[in-house]
Amino acid sequence: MQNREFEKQVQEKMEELHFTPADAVWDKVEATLPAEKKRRWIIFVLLFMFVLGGALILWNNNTPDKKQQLASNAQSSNTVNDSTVKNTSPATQEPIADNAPIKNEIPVTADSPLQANKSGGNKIQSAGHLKIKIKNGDDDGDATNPGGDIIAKNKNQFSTKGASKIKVQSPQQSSEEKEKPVAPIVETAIVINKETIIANADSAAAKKDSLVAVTKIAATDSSVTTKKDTAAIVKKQKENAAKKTKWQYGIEMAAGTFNVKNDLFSSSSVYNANAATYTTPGGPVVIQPNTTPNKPLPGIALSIGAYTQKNIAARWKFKTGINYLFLSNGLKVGSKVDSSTNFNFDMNKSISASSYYHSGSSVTYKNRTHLVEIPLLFQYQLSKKIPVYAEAGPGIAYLLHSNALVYNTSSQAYVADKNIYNKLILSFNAGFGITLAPKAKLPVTTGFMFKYGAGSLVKNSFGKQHLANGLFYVRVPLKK
Amino acid sequence: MEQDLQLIKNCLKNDRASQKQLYQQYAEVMLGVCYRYTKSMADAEDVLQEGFIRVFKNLHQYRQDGEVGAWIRRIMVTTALNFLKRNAKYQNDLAFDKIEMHPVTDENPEIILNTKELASLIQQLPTGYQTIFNLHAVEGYSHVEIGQLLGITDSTSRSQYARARALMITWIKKYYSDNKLQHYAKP
Repeated sequence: MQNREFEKQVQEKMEELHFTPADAVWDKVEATLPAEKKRRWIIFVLLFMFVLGGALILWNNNTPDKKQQLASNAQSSNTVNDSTVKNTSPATQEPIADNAPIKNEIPVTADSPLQANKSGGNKIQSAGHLKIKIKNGDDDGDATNPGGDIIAKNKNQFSTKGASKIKVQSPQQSSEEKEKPVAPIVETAIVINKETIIANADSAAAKKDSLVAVTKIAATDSSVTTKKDTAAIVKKQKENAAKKTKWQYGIEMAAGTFNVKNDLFSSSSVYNANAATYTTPGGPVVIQPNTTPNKPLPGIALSIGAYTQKNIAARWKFKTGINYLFLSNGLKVGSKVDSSTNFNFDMNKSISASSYYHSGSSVTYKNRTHLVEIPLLFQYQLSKKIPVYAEAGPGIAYLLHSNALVYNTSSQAYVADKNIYNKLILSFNAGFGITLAPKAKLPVTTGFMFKYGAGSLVKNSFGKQHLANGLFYVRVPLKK
Repeated sequence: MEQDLQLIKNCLKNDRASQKQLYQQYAEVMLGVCYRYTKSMADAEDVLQEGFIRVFKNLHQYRQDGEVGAWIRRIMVTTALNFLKRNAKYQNDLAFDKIEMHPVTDENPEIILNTKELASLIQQLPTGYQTIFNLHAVEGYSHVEIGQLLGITDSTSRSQYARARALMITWIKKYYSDNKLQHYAKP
């Protein structure tokens, strides 16, 4: 042997020396590596959603047009031309049935708290703080009461404890005023503190006797003006407007079927069938039957979450929320092999797995995928009368965990590894639904939703697996 | 080679799958390297971990004129030497002037031990001998390079290596006579 022969032998032997390191070593190495750039996506998506949400809230709260409309409504609502008193008292929020006529049920007596102002005007001071001005049609301003004391005889009664002033005009008011449109909100101000204004006075009698009772408001086309009513009206209007644009929220549950697809309109398997082909020298391509990858079997999809929605236009609603989505489907595979193996895929990608499955059909493997999803849906009510609506919009899902298998072409084996999945999956949602018992306190909505993962569950290097599921859902509002 | 270069590019883009692939491709061999320089598998794994952290940290410095494996190996060796220098367990043994003198031999016996048996013998050398034996006999460093790496003269490296080699040959011979692997020296 030469002098360096010993060293050569040592070198050769030591070249073959290798050991499998513990998994913890990579974990520790990985922990020191900078975060993947892809994670910036999450930040951008969250930022976008935050900005979008903020913009929607701002847009909702800053509606100057509505405020102006409210103010103008309030100003123009001092005339009552209707024969009925509608709506509720703003002070008490006590509802009054629509179209309920004002009745003349209780005669006004001398003891009635409703008295005209002795000083000559037609001002009536109620027992409470209600001040009513009555104008005779002959007078421009407050008519003088020829009868002196004004006592409501037996025609009308005002019963109120509110602090409002009401101005009543006789039928001889100008035709312009008569024809002024009636704002229903004004009418609500007539009843205060649950006490009913019962006014069925004959305006002619009132004019004749100069006794003011209150004329039958509807019958006399009198106009009623109150200052405080205006504030109440505006407040009510705001409340109504706010109620219409308030966020509603509730819970949503859904169940349906799930499968993975190669493409939306493709019937081909998500697993590359070419993997099972080989070419004989000079011969045709032969498909090896026992190694053809199986098509995944349909499975179940379950979803539960919370949603929130609000009106954004006359028949449009915006809906979002957060859902937990569980997807499971089956796949026929061969026997399991517990051995640490490297699998090479396209684009120089490879994964190392501690176990894998041969091609075959002896075992049904369950692909299970857990996601958290944020849908951004726009709903359109198809009919004004029937609460049937269609909805569609994008969604973004974050993968919590998956054990979905991919098919390795070179080794003809199914394998799973956490590094093969995309963490963020963009999806498209479309569906329809109907609200059951819409007048109920908390109306339940049910319908069908189709979700398609525009992004693949697995990264491109490992194939294409688009999540497709159809779900029947039930939405239970917690706040209408 | 092209695949390795593509892999390096992907690693530099901070693609986690590529980084893991690079690790998986070289981790087993590099653990063997680390194992030869240390006295236990736990220490070897510590060196491996530290070495790969340095690999990924300095990957941009890799000049694509050589094999990736050789570049990673150099980093592993350097990391192992640093580990020995700063680890109290090895420090005393690494004082080359205190190493017990062993007779030198020019013999070149045939090594019939398998890889792991031979690695186990190398591991049982005193740390100073073990280090220089690994650097010269296995890695192929010259004594000048070893001197620079360890901060000793090349003649010290040369003499230490001669004694390490002689000790190894003695143990190998003894192995043949005993026909079994045993512990010849306390680690």
